[in-house]
Amino acid sequence: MASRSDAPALAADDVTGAGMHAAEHRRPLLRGGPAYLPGVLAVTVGLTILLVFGAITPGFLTVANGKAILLSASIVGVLAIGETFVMISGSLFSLSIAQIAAATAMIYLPALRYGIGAAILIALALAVALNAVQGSMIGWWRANPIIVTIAIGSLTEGGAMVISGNRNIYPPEGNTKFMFILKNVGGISVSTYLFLFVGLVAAIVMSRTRFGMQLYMMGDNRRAARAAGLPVANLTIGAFVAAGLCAGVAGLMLAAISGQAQSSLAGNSTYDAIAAALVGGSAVTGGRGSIGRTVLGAIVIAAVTDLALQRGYNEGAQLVVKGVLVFVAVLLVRFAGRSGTRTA
Amino acid sequence: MSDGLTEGQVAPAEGDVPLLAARDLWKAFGATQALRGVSLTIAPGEIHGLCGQNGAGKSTLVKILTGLVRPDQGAISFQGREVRFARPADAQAAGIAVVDQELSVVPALTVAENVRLGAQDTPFFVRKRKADANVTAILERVGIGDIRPDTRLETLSMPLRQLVEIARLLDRNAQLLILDEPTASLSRGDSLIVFAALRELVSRGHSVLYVSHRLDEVLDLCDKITVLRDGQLVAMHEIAEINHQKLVRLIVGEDGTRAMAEGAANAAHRSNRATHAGHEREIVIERVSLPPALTSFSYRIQPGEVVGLAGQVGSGATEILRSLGGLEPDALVDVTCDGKALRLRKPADAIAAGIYFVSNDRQTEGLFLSRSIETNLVGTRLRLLSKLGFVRTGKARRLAASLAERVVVRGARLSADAADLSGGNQQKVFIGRTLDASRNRLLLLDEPTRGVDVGGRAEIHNLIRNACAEGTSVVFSSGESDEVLALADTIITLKAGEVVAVHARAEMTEESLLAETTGTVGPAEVSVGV
Repeated sequence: MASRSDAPALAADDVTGAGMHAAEHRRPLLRGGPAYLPGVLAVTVGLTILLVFGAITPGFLTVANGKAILLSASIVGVLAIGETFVMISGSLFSLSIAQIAAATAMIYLPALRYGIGAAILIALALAVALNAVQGSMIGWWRANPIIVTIAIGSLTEGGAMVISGNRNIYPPEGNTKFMFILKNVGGISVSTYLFLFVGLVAAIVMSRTRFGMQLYMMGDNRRAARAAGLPVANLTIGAFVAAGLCAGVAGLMLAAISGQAQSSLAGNSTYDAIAAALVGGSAVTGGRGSIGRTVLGAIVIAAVTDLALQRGYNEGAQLVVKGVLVFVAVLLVRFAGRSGTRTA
Repeated sequence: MSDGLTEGQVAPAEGDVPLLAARDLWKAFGATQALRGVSLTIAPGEIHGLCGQNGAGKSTLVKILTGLVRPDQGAISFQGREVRFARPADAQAAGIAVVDQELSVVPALTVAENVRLGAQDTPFFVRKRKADANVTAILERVGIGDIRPDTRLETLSMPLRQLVEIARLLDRNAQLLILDEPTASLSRGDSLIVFAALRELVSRGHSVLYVSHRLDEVLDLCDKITVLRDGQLVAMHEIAEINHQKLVRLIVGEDGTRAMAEGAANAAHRSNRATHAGHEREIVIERVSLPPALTSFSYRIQPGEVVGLAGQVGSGATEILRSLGGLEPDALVDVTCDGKALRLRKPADAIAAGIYFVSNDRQTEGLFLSRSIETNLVGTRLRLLSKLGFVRTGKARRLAASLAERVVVRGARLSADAADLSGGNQQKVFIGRTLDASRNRLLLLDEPTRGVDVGGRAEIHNLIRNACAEGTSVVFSSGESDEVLALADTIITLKAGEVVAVHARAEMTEESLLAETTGTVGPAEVSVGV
């Protein structure tokens, strides 16, 4: 369904060219700009607001606070990188990554008894497998991503609750190796390094590899991608597997921060991750977005949340600020227009 | 004749006030002059045929009458009153409605719901019995009053669904119905059902503007026929004054045939090339079939041969190309290449065999519009440009540059979005993407120059000729006879999903081509004239 949704809007017209003429009236507000313009704008607007309010908030524009913001951005940021793969590929978004991350954490902690390396591998394998299932259903059967990810998300969370007897899961007695993620190296936490490292790898994958470039093409126009012989089913699975890896890494980070795990460990972070990708200018219709801007989006959201905290706003006000941010980003993407309507 | 009508309020008592009088309509799209002073008069209770080749201006005229496009010049009066349509809703409110090839009825709803769909005057609480009686009264006007209003539309046949759509337009008070190629997807028998309904309709005072390429139908159905050519009004005739032969000549024009004779000289030197190649290199299409649109097709293609599929809308040419390209999973395709049977279930299969399909719809099935021109040129062959999954950008860039040069995409940075290109350049990029002499065996081009200006068209024709010179075979479809005659070595005429005849290029003229594709000569019918 993802590709069908944009097909009618692009309906070609007949030989008179009247359709092209009509399209001119629908030219986007920020016409002719490059595709990354809306994302850049959204982040710029966010940063400007931040700096203005930050300057008048004592304690906000400090190095220590900057580090704290990066740390709090790291988990949602890694999840958002995962969502960006799915969004660019044109399969809307995944609504199950928080559950996958929690399940990863729940298998990771007990598995530590086999050594930390094995535990990480087992945990990531579970996350990848669960997402490969979702990707296969969406890629091969063209199943609706929202329905599939809600269903697998419930199954994962429910399954985890049943297996754990709805109890908290703790690491083996005395095992603190998994806490390495909280360590500080050069004054910055490993969690932050991990976030930036995942972002760097993902950015290289999306911009330099065949997989990444094909993912962009498929997201832009799935029918054309199929007609051109691209492996659309496998690419879709690939996007979900990448998202699964990210969810898995986020699960490792969550486990370290909490020191325990249960099925609701990741809370609402699915929505925060989607919000971060949207603020970075990704489009749920596919083909638009970049890892770098998603990373920035996650940092902007974390900074805004931090700012609201420092100014003493309550949780409700924080949510409102976040909502406004996403709204503005989506509007910018919208008015920059899908370039498909441009015909000049 | 129009002079007497220019005064806005003509006395309505006069019996011969036309329902619609469009006078001296002009319209240009950029550099293309789509209409040059066209006039059209339709009387109440008349079925008026509108004929002309693709690009003659039919669609533009229809769009003006339905408020989709505003004329640069000219006036329209409807029911004796001057009208100006700023948008489609204005035309509908005045009583002009169009039935497109794509129906806008909803199969899952009942007949009554479809008829009332979108009606402004539906009360909040619907009194079902009274509403059903109204619906039945409307259905009677198209001669299907015996269909129960609570029948689900999906249980009805295609022609009946079309009539339900017409009924809905009548419910919205349509006086003039414009039908654009209404029978393109209908069989002959189904068409007759629609014709009967249209006759019923005009007997009740409505009028119909009937746009069609199927000249036998137009001659059969209409009271008057208007012919357009190159945006100009060629003739308006009473049905009694005209026959098929005369109509074809009006559509093609005096110099149409002469220009084609010159094109023949160009093509002549290529016509023998096909035969010298060895038979083991040929691609044998034993059978392609995709009912109901395409009954059956078979042909042996020689290396370097250009086969033109000539036909009007609904001829089955598109289906042949799509099926061979692997885009129709339901098609029955039996093709052997180098003596091996090919499996063509998906586009990737076809491409693996060197068969490349170029859709007639470059925007939805061709280009990646928000990606760069460079990506569009090389993005589908990244496998050859990458090592261990990493794309070698320098190599990709060089290939893109050489392809861009080859397909003559001018005045564009390769990093710009494909959406920023003109239609012609987009089409060139689309075709250029498939060109690779070492892999191409067969190019399938569906309407390769649709929506492309004259200059771009010539360049695309050259691209195709060059590909053939390198040994690639080409099968293309075109609704425009001059294009078929200019490009093809072999011309296969098609009509309603069946092959009419296979000709060498030299045997055909624009007239004989049009005659075969519009229906006087056909396998199921007795040959009459031309």
